[in-house]
Amino acid sequence: MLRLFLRLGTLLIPIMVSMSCVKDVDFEQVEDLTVTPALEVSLIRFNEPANRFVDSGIEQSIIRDSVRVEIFNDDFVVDNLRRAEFLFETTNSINRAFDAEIQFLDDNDELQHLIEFGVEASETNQEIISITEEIFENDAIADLTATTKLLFTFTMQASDDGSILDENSPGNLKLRSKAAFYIDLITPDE
Amino acid sequence: MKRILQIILLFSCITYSQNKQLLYGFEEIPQSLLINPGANVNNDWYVGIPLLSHIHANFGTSSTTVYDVFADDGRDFNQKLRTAINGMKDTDYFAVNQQLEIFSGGFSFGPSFDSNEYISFGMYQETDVFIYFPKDYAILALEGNQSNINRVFDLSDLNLSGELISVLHLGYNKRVSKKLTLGARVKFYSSVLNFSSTKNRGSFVTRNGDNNFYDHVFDLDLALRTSGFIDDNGSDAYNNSSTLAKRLLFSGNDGLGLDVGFTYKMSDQLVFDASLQDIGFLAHTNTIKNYELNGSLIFDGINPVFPETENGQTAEDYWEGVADNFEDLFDVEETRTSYTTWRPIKFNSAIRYAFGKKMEEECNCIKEEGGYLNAIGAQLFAVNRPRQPQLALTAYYYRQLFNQFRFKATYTVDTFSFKNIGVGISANIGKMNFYAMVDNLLEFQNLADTQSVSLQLGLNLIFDKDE
Repeated sequence: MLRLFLRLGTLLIPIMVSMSCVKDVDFEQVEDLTVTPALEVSLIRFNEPANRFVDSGIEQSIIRDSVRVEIFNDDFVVDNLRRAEFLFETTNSINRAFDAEIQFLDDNDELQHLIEFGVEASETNQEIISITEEIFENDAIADLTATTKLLFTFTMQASDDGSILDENSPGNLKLRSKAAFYIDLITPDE
Repeated sequence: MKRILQIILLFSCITYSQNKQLLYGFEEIPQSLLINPGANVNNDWYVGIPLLSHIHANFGTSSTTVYDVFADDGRDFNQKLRTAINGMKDTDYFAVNQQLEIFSGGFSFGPSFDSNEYISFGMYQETDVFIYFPKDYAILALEGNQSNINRVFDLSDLNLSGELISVLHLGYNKRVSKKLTLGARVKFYSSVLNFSSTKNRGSFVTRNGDNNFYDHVFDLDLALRTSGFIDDNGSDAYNNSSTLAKRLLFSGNDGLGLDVGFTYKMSDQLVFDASLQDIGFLAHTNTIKNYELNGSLIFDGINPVFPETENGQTAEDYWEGVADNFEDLFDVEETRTSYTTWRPIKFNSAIRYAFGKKMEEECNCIKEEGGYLNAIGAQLFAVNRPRQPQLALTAYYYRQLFNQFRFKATYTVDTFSFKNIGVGISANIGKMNFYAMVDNLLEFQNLADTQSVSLQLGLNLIFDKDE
């Protein structure tokens, strides 16, 4: 009896198998899988009035601050970051020029990377926009992923005509910045 | 990572509809009582061959097939994958369902001249996994937010649930009159593993900002509930088969369910029947681990608070605040709160018309039924799912060949396909009953391009009334 069923089964299964087939499928293609998302993130921003550079009637030529950033040396970033593009946009309507400096520092406050750019004076207090881009790629990525701190320094240059800012001086210095991170989440093995 | 993805991709393409259109109404097979406890019973008693009486697996996908993505056609794999993902909707789903009967049996009783009552019982194990395609998450992972500024990523796209349970059941069936048969089955569920994340809400969007280039707006309300993945001591249990096996009975995460059904003979030839399966719940109170992610945040960058003097305070405090906000936002809260899950309720209904009188040489006075050799019918199937019910409509032809061989062919229209043709056979050789059913036959020419396939087979010992 059981033999009959086995026979029935051995008859049916080959029929089903012979009817079925899997056509030209290549699962090895998954080796080609590429997942490379691009992330855009807002970074540092400020908008400071001219009198920020004045304290009790005396000009303060330097404003400086540091920001701890742990995202760059996060394991995920260290392992997968292929390229990073930083973009700094300054909008100045103060009648003074500035030198901007952004230091990328590691845990021991050692300099890994330096970005410097100038900000033009706005003689008529019209907004002057300037853009600075910095790209980290290849070996430079290591400088970025070692960074745990960003130190911003804006140094105000002396005026051409010797004038001095006071509490009522017009204009603002504005900074907007963003970074684009290109992530190699999954790439074909070399 | 790739290995995991490969498994996910394969798994994604193995999915299921839970429709048992071939077995429903196939009265010669005792397991048809599992779909409609109020089906006509025409055996005196039966016993299923342990572990072989009902083996069921059903695979399908509502959208992409393996072939769409993995075809060896020279096209770029990544392009095919992205085309597939872009072509899919967040209501497309992948699912797996599998059942294995551990034991089963049934017997009739009542007056010897008309034993019109029937008890059936058994135990089976069931796996049910149902995953909606998390489209927005897939797009975000593939592309990132750079090319999707202003696109609102809908976090409710994450919608998945799965369970591994055992079901102990007892059914009662009574032919109330010549026309009407009623039946019900009580079920005792024991959950081995359960996970569900079906009520997620929230969004993520990157917008052009005022103070900075972008505002990143997070609004998270996500939750995942699990039971059984840890043991009583809190350590991982999902890969410990002996711990899992013990939970097949009285795992502590138990539940109750009910099936009801009827068959109504409108005339000698016209029959209408319907059933509801798995009206039931499971209360998860043990080995629970839930995860919750709640919070909202708008981030537009870090604003250094420039000190009054060169050597004054720094923005560290401000940054600490930003970091804390992010930590709070992505802080996953773990809880042990009990929860209840509802089983997917299944509805089946059919109308059938029998024709073609059987010619018999000898008068058979006992035989009341089976007087017709052919039947045609139409069936409706529905199962409730987290987002929307899943429906299928089937037309079928049923034929008795020789004395002990029955055949059923179905044509089914559902979300998977418009060309689903299935066949089922039931053969009795002596007391031994063998049945096998498979659908989506047309797709067998290329299994990789199949959106769903269901397979059922089993062995029973059946003892008929009229023998």
